[in-house]
Amino acid sequence: MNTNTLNHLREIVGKNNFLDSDEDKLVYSYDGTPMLSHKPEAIVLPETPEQISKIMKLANAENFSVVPRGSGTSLSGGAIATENSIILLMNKWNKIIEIDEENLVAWVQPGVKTHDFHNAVEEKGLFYPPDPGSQKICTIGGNVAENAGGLRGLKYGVTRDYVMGIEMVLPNGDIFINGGKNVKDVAGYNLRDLVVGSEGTLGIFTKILLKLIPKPKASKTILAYFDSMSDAAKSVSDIIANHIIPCTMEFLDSTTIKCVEDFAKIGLPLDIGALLLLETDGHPQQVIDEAEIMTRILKQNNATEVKIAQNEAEADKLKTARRAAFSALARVKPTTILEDATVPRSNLVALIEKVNELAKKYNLLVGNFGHAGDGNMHPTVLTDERDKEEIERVEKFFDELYDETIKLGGTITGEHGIGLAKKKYLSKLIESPALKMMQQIKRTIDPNNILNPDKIFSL
Amino acid sequence: MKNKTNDAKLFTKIPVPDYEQILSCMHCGMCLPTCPTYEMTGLEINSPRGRIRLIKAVADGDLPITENYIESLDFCLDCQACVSACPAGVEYGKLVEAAHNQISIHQKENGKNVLKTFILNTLFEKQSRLKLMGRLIKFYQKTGLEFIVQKSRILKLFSKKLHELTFLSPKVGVYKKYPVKSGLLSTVQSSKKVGVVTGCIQDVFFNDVNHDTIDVLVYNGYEVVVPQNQQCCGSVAGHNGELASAENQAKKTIDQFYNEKVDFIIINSAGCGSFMKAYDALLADDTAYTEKAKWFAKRVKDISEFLVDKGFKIPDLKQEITVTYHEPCHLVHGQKISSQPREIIKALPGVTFVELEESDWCCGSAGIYNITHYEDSMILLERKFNKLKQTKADYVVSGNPGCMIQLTYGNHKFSSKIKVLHPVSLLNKFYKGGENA
Ligand SMILES: Cc1cc2nc3c(=O)[nH]c(=O)nc-3n(C[C@H](O)[C@H](O)[C@H](O)COP(=O)(O)OP(=O)(O)OC[C@H]3O[C@@H](n4cnc5c(N)ncnc54)[C@H](O)[C@@H]3O)c2cc1C
Repeated sequence: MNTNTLNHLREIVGKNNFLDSDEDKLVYSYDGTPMLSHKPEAIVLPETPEQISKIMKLANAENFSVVPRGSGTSLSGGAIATENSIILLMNKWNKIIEIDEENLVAWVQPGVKTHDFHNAVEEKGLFYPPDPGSQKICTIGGNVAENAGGLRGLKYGVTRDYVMGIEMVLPNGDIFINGGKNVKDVAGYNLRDLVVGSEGTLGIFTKILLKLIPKPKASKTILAYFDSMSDAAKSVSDIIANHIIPCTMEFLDSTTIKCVEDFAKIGLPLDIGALLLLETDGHPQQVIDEAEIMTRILKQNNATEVKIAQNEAEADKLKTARRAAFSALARVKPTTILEDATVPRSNLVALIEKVNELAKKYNLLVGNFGHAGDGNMHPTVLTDERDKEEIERVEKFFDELYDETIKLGGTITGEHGIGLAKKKYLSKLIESPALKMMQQIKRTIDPNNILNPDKIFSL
Repeated sequence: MKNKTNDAKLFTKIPVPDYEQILSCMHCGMCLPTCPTYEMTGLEINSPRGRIRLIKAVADGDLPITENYIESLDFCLDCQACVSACPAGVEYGKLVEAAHNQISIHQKENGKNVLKTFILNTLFEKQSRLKLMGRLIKFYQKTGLEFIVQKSRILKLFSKKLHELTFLSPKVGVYKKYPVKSGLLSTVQSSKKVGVVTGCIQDVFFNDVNHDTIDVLVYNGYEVVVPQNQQCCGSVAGHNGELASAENQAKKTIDQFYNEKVDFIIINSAGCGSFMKAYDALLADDTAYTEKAKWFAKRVKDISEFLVDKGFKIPDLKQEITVTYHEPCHLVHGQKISSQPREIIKALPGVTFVELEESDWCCGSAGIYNITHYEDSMILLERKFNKLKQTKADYVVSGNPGCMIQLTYGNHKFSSKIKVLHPVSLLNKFYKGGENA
């Protein structure tokens, strides 16, 4: 990028909001994705939608790319700089603009941290369910861009289910709002649904309107230990078959349990095959009833122990430990490559068994955990990126696992997005006309391909 | 050609923060929300994950030691909240210490950072000098010179930092010598022999806390020895990368206690405790000291850790006071000691304990951070006092001299009247029967 353009950018945002030292470029060269990194040409911190608009116009004129970034916890490479690009840093847009208790909605800036938003609405007796494992740091903007899920997805759905309106800047610099506080609204194409999950490729969010619900009055958190992984997985489908939709059903295999215990020291047994962390919430009586039935089903499926958290603090400890699962796996080996395979719930047992089988076949160490209630697993290969031979086996493992997942009626990513990491598998899953339509949409909205290019697919 | 630093020893010398450590950071970002400097700035360069990336670049030879690199690392409080938060178990603190050492070697070659080097090498190196400064401070506090200096802002002419520094320096009480041996005749409980580390800052500024520590131990039936003329344990130098100084000070400290054949070594300063517990790693390469250092490190106990572990007498006296607890970083994150001081407070008859929100968020003291990064330190201190005021407590208890100085200063700065005490002093007040506790 030439000095002129850089100076122009600096003028738009002001010199305090413009970073281009070697050190800054280095620390904005990665996100949460393993083994991928690329340095941007500069990092800009815009303060208004108008500044963003100017930046986009400049990008079109000067032919550089713009990569939006929240907190950089993406697990598919969505926030990593591409060739000749700048990082558009949005994490300081962290104001909760309005919590409208009459309409049960809230306007927020995209840089609000998800958990800060939880705390703010819960103070008012309200509830915003999406709670990715990274909730203490990830931003609402990043959540919307990735259509993030979380531990409560089973009962409450994912980010998409709570986005009612978005203000955004298009690649050509136009600024507009789509959606609003209306519960019903079918005027024209639903553009906001189009951009939820667009991974920062279609527009830059500057304001987001989120739906809220009343906070459940009661909840119970249950922990169940199993000798066999299949028994744990079977419990999940049995509970749902009994017409109970708990808000959370999380699965951890023995490798993951050991790592999590090593970190959190909460007294998990180290000799079990798997555990389930379950939560039911709602009206107090319903919670008691459901907890009872769930306990019975867990025991019927050979749970060796079923424990109920005694208070909120204990429940929080368990959930916090679960959220650390992915990162805790790095205790074993330096490189942790995680998958995001998702299958219809009825095929969960088959998926878990397949993962074990393939881990053996390719002689790899795999920790498996995930949102079992959603059929969304994160088999994670524990490896070392310096071991080229092993990395080759890892790739073969993933190739075959994706094939198998698709055969099981599943998808290659449930919540982390395609980004850079899963690009090459997209065409296996999506039929060509659909893929073409996606590419066509991108071309129409971003003809010069300047907004987070080469993410999801290349043009 | 890359200017490869290739300082292999750098990353193996202090407690093995080697390349494997750097690689085990998976940059997931779970540390970010716990990092005070990231919270203050929202910038990745001021985050643990960012700093590790920079340390990696320097180790790889992709980045020379630059001003920005130094600034990023100097800005780190070394509070180690990220270490507690890191699910992957990356020993960030050790990586940063190693990096500081590398920087300090680099700076000495370039003759930089005079204020910091003066404080570290001149003041802390010789206890007599620190004592002299303490005396001077006391002298001018007593004579009212302090008032003149502060009001007239004479020092401000020289530097804003030095001016504020005089405010930062706490009131120094009458200095009382420590008994060499005490509790010998005690037949009450145990015949265990414990040594008390009187340290440097505690010795000058918190001579009374050291006496409280000795009294409490004697009261609980221990034979207490206090090696005389102790120096700094090396932690101030060590945490700032002055490794050679740190090692020398560590060896002197070890010798003093080794000769006494004590069963336990008791410390009332979190930063020192945290550092001394790692003497074995610090001196692992020094064959003459490897075994002695292991001997020492195994015996080091923080006073609150020791009392709760071994049990302590519940005082008879009852006093209706409200107490809250601020966690020194080097206790909660450095040594994972968090429940013990609370247990002591809660055991005191009549005391109402109130939790402090964000009790484990750094107060900004951070060794000499409040001198080197005054403004940032004050942002943290203000945040701390906003939370402290919510508790409406009479006392804030905290087992670290740095935090105590900082909190005392906060009273002055944010017009608060909360009394600052070390947990062992609170306990001793109850043992002694009040003195308007
Ligand atoms: C330990 C850990 C646990 C996780 N657990 C979960 C989980 O349970 N469920 C889940 O779904 N994900 C999870 N994730 C993945 C990740 O946290 C989510 O994808 C999250 O939504 C990313 O938010 P962020 O603010 O970090 O966004 P970033 O990583 O900064 O960006 C993500 C994407 O959003 C785009 N973007 C960011 N801000 C904007 C904006 N204002 N406008 C337009 N585009 C924007 C970026 O360009 C990028 O494509 C986890 C990650 C980690 C490290």
